[in-house]
Amino acid sequence: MDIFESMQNAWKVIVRNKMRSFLTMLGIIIGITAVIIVLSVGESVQGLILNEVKSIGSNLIGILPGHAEEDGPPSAAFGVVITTLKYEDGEAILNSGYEHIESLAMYVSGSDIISLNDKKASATFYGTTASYPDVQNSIVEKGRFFTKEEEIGNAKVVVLGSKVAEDLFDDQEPLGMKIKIKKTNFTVIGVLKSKGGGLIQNEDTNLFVPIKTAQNVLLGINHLGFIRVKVDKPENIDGTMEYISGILRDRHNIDNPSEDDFNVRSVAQALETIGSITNALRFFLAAVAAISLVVGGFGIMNIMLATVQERTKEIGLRKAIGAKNADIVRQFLIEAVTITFISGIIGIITGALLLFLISTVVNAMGYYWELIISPWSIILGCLVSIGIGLIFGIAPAQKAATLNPIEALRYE
Amino acid sequence: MLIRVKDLEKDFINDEVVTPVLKGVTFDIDKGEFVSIMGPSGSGKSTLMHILSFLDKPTGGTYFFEGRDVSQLSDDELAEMRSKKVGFIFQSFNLLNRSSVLENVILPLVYTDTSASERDRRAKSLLEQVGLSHRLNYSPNKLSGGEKQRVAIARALINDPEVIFADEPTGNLDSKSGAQVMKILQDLNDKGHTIILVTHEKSTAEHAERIIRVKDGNILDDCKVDCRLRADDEEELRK
Repeated sequence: MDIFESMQNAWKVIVRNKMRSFLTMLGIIIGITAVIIVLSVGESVQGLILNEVKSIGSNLIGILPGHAEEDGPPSAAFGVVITTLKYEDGEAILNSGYEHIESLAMYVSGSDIISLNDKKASATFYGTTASYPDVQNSIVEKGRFFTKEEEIGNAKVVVLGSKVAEDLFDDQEPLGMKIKIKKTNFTVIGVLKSKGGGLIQNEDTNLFVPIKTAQNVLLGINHLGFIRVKVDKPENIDGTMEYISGILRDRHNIDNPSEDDFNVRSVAQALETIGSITNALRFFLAAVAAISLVVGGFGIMNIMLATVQERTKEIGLRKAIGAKNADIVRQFLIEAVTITFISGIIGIITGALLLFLISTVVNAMGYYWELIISPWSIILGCLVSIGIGLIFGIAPAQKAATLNPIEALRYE
Repeated sequence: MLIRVKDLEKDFINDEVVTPVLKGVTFDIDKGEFVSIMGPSGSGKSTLMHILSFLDKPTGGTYFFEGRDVSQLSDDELAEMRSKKVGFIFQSFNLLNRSSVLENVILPLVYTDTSASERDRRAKSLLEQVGLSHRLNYSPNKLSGGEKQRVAIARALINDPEVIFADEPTGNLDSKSGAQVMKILQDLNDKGHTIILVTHEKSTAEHAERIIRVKDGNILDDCKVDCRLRADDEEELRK
């Protein structure tokens, strides 16, 4: 009995009852689709995080106002305005001369409609320090970043993210032009080089003004959004975090760490949080995959039992003309596997299409998302679909093989 | 000696009720014979044929085929005997409608290690012999009854079997097609094939040179064609 003939038979079974076949195959299709997505999304998220590390560096420490539990998000993340972190705190950390601190940048942010003549765009602006490009690994493509003097001197200058520059100026030369933020004119002095979208911050769509200007002129506040510290080597991150916490406790007169009105965390930690969220999603999908594969498997078993019933006479004939029990088992197993394998292929294609859709949507939202369809997921998808066919096909196949040929030939 | 059965018994057991179907049947069949096994329904003739053709096992007595004790064979060995030694022709044809005429004829070779080209060659040659070489790619359900039975005959011959078992081969055919099928069986016998025909019809049975009449699980008589069946026997069989 050749494999090809059994596969042809399976194909005929599928085609003869298209609706029934489709419904039976659905469970396997959904299951394999989920398998493909689970495995491939994992790699894409890895890529996303790696890209993040590449764009802002893994040796950054963030200081946020407000207390936070070890693993929980800082309260600032929920939009609570906390005013405990000040410009002077940042200066103090920098001036302490701690050997592993390379540089430090401070930030406040707000968003507004910015306008150039009659052109308008909605954008997030950051008030930051002159050290920003150094801390963030940003490159100024045109013009320059603002200086320390401008930082503290309420200078009305602005550096644009590449996307903002493009949206507002098209091919026009932006340097020296004036744009309006919160009804105040700012002179464009520089444009940053594009980094591509990031998960924590998308620099390309931001504007940067001196921090004092942002605090005094645009926002009317004297606290900071957050501070970032660049550490010389990744292995010094933990020590530096301790050191910074010490300075801030001193300055804020805090004795007990549980009363901290700030929290210090590394970028690596923040990325781990993102990773753990996507992991939870993957576990959910993996559960969906497992359940649909089992349910799908029973569906296959059901259709194969029906097929055996329908073809009782054929089985009797095959046995009469010399088929051994093993031949019959093999025939029906191959049929079951063909059905699950075809379902698997459809699942792989569906999964790939969904991944393509995800990457298109996520990229359109400005994040970095590489379309990865992991070859392992395809191999695993094929193996799993074949395995399901074998596991759930064996019982119907054995039932077929043990039919009494005389009874089977008489069956009408 | 091709077939030797001695005191062959078969009981069917259903819910602990034992129904004897064959009650000790003894006869020999030589190579090249054309034998009819004749009897009314329920006489045990079909069960006898099933045992002779390795589809069923006796519950008592002995069955030797080419000197080999069939009762000692395993299921797989019986399957191999069916594959190599016998060909079947059924009343209801038992063709696979999803496969073409050619594929149907090839089917028994699928369970042997014959090469694909050899399978094709033999099947086409046999279909030519039964006059159906113009129907190779037809589905069997497009054929007339007589044509279907000729396909079945080609299928039965493809393994070049020792014995051809024909179970009421004309039962579903009109008289003209039936005569055609019987003519083919006759020709096959003339060429040296052993043919065992199972039927309840006297007119069909009489194509054979020897008729074994079965009734209630016993052999009523076993005679060559020169001992023609008598009318009163016919009456007796109808009871």
